[in-house]
Amino acid sequence: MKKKDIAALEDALSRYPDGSQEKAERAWLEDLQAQDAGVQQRMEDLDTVHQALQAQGIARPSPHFTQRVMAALAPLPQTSVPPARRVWRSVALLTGVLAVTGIIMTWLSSDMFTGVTVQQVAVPYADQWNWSVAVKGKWLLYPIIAINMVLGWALLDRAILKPLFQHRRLHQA
Amino acid sequence: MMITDPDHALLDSILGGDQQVYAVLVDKYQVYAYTIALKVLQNTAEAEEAAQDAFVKAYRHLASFNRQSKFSTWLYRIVFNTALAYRRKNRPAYYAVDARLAVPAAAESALEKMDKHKYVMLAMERLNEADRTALTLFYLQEFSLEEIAAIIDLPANTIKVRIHRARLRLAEELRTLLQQEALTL
Repeated sequence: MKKKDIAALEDALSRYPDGSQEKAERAWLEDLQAQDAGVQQRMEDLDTVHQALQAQGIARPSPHFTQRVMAALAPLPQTSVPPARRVWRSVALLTGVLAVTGIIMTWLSSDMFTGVTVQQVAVPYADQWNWSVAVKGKWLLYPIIAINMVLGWALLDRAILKPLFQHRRLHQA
Repeated sequence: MMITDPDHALLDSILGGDQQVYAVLVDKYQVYAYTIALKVLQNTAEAEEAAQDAFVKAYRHLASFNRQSKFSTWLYRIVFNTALAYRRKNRPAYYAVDARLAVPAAAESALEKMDKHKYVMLAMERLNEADRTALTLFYLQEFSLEEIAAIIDLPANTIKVRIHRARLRLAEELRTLLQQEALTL
């Protein structure tokens, strides 16, 4: 038998017990089986393996299995703060974050920082340097606003939305 | 993606504090959990301990179960991994195969066919844990290839190929065992 045919035979034999072969492949295998005693033997062995695997069935544990598992369980850890108090605390925190963001944005929109640059802040020995950096004060506030927005979103998601959806799911079930 | 599974409502009750509901899930899944542990460990006492341990682990981590699969698939995966850990921990002890496994009740008949089944079961002990478990789950006809793949943590196509190859290997082992038996007569 050619190397290619041996590989094809292995493929066909691997599918043979499930009967998932195509018609042509099954016919080819039947021909081989009639001509070659070795192939016939392998097919018989595969039939035996298939039948033995089908017959093996499930195994059953001892009758007290469930009681033993239940006895080994400890109560699920409960959070120390009651859920309602946790949510209110988070709401207060979120309100604080939003308030800070709001105040900063109000300052910015009222042109409070127009003309204010960091260069005007007295820095020791600054006059000895040949360089200076002028940063507009309101540019420094943009990252603070961004950090507040991210913090606010994380708080909203973790502390309010997630517990709310979990609570709704529990009660719908 | 969340899937619909009737067990998820039970999980909500357990997470809500009703621990006794977990007994319903233990009753429901203990047989397959034990079968999986037994296929990996091949020792009834150790398999029972590993299966119980897996149920306890699953209970402790219920809150972290993301519900993107059936609860049973997640649980059986824990059982498979727990049994593997037991096997690695106590490897030397498993060379002494449990007598009840080596000769299953169904294979004790004097009929030649049953003798051959006994040899197939003996040959199965020479397969690795993943192949042995995959073959068993596949033949129980309760699990899809995708579920078996999720339990064993291998792609479904790999599982299919491994089942096919394991069967061919079993057939070869069976022939070798039968020839050895013939020589001793």
